[in-house]
Amino acid sequence: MNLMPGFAEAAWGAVAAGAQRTPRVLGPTQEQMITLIADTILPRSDTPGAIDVGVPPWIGLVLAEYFSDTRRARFLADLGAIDRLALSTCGAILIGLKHHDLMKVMSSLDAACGSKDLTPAQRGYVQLKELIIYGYFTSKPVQQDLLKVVIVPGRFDADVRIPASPT
Amino acid sequence: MKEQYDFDAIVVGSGITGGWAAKELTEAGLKTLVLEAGGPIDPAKDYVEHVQPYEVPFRNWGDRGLLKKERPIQTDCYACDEIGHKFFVSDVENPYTHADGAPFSWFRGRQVGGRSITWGRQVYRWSDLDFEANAKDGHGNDWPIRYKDIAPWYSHVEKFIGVSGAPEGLSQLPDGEFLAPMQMTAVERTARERILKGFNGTRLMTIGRAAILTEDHNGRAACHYCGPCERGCITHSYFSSIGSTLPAANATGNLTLRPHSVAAELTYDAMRGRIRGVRVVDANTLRDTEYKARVVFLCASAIESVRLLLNSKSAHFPQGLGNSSGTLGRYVMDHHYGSGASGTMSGFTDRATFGRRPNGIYIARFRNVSTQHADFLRGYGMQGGSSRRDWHRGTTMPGYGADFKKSLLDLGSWSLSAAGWGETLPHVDNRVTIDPNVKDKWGVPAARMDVRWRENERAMQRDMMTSMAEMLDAAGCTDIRLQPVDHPPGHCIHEMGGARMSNTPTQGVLNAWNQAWDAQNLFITDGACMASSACQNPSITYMALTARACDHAVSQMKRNEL
Repeated sequence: MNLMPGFAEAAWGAVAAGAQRTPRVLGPTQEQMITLIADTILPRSDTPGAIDVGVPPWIGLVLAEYFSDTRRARFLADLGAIDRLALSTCGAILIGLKHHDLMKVMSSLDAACGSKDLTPAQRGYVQLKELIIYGYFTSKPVQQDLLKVVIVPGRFDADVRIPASPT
Repeated sequence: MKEQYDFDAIVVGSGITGGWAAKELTEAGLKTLVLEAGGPIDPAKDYVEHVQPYEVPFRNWGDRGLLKKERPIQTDCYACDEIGHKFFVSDVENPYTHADGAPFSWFRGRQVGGRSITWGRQVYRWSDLDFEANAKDGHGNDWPIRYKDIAPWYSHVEKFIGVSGAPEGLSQLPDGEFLAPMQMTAVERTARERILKGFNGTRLMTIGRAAILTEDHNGRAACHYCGPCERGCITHSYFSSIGSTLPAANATGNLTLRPHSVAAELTYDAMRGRIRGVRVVDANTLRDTEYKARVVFLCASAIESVRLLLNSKSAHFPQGLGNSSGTLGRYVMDHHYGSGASGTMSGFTDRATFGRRPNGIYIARFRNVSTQHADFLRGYGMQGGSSRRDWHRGTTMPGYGADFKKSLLDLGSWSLSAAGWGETLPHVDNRVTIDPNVKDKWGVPAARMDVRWRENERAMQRDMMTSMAEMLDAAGCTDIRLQPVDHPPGHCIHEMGGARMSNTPTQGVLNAWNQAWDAQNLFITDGACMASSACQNPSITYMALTARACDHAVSQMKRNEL
């Protein structure tokens, strides 16, 4: 059964067919940076990674057509701050770092998650991480195959017994 | 000469109250015209509750062209998103203004079914604590009715729409005609017992009372727990006019439903002192038509009904129809809501839930029930719930890499939270007027809002946070965080008042039967009629008042008194 309503199908069709028409707001270096960070935060393992489920191009769409011009400009400026941080601490922009240095920069940025007072580089990273996680977990493969979302449960059970999990 | 009528009755609006008026009037044998400003809805095509985020390009965030340009105000409502925005008006076509320093959120749905498609479905009876409040503390005017007057009509409505809930025997929150309650989680059941014990039985957490079926009822199927009711329900498992009252009205053969019909003005017969009919602008052709009827029911939502009256000026009513008291448009209220607290309940990691319960917990009002609080009058109820944290927690927690990804596929700890829904005092200067400089797409002068929270509301909001934090502490939660929220008036979508009921014609617009003091064949039964707001979600009270007013109108018509 196709549950996608007509308007959604049409909208998707327009996006799919008009990928080239979507205004590009990211330069090649920025696209590579987003892809690298997405792959580092949610890499492929025994389950698909962020790249496998199309997170980087989705972020490109969101930046182009969901973010306001002001918000996008600030976000891209903050991504620039990440490169400046990498350059000043490890001698290269993010996509040019060796694995060890990449982990060093990622760790310093990631430690800021949940904090309130953020540097521009941390702010850009935290916002990008949010986009990556949202894009990954709302993707069809993850919703269907990993989270196993049941669209029409048919009942509510308030007290399902499951193996205890560490939290 | 005898007046010629097009219909026995006209109902303006097809939402929660319009549907009820249509049902009650048609079942009494009246040929009834229902006017709806928006277009028709076909649930089979238009409802979108099963659409998943990956089926829309922006994963339900929407693109700024679609949402932010067309609906910059409406998108501040949680339900106006990429999937469900169709049930909200275009702000470009439907402008309104507000006074400087008094922002007002007006979330609106113009379609057959109105906001009964998107409403929150929480239904709580009022008690005499509420109906007597104005008289006791002097804010607002005394209600012309008491609980005994409306109680049978609550039952009448509940039996038809189906309300799931648990009887608790509280005087301030009377029990109703309940279907089986939805289940509370283990965390909620534990919190209930600990809070009861911690506050000597004065604070009671119960399952939300919701107009959602837990069993098949009146030809409608029980809930299938898909979750987002605000996007429609193909099985009509929650109450909406389009799934319940309008079909019942249609079955009588007495209903004429006219979508795309913008009510622009009530016409008045000064010789006979009666409403003659309704001037309607066809939303598509912009052509004017006047429909005449013996009786008119305004069910267009509080601000729309008041706006219609204020726009219906004549030599007899230079300040708006029905405004001989000078109170029309005044004493507008909403619930101030959202402040509360959240916490983490340790343990219970071997428990989870299945299905998406479209309901939460409710903590009945406990302030100013038996003792007077030092800082504020009236009270608030609290709404919330518990759940296990899911992958969303990953957006704010440190971590990356394969192990991080794996951890987000597992459930996290239990959160428990609730926020207050507070009563707003009726204030003469909280009002809606007409903006002389702004018209909507159909040429109807726009509403101008000036509604403000005042000190009583502010004091209550502070108490919502501290009292909820106390309850979370009593429940055994840790990591308790206060949640200050400051939504503008209107944001709760419980806007009400502006044409209040009263004991005398000098105090208000409507009598004890929702009948205009100035024109006895005019009834206003949406939220405009309210003389106070209480703290309970108001729709069931509007529905009960509508059914009661219809019964009165029909009785008067049978006696040729209308």
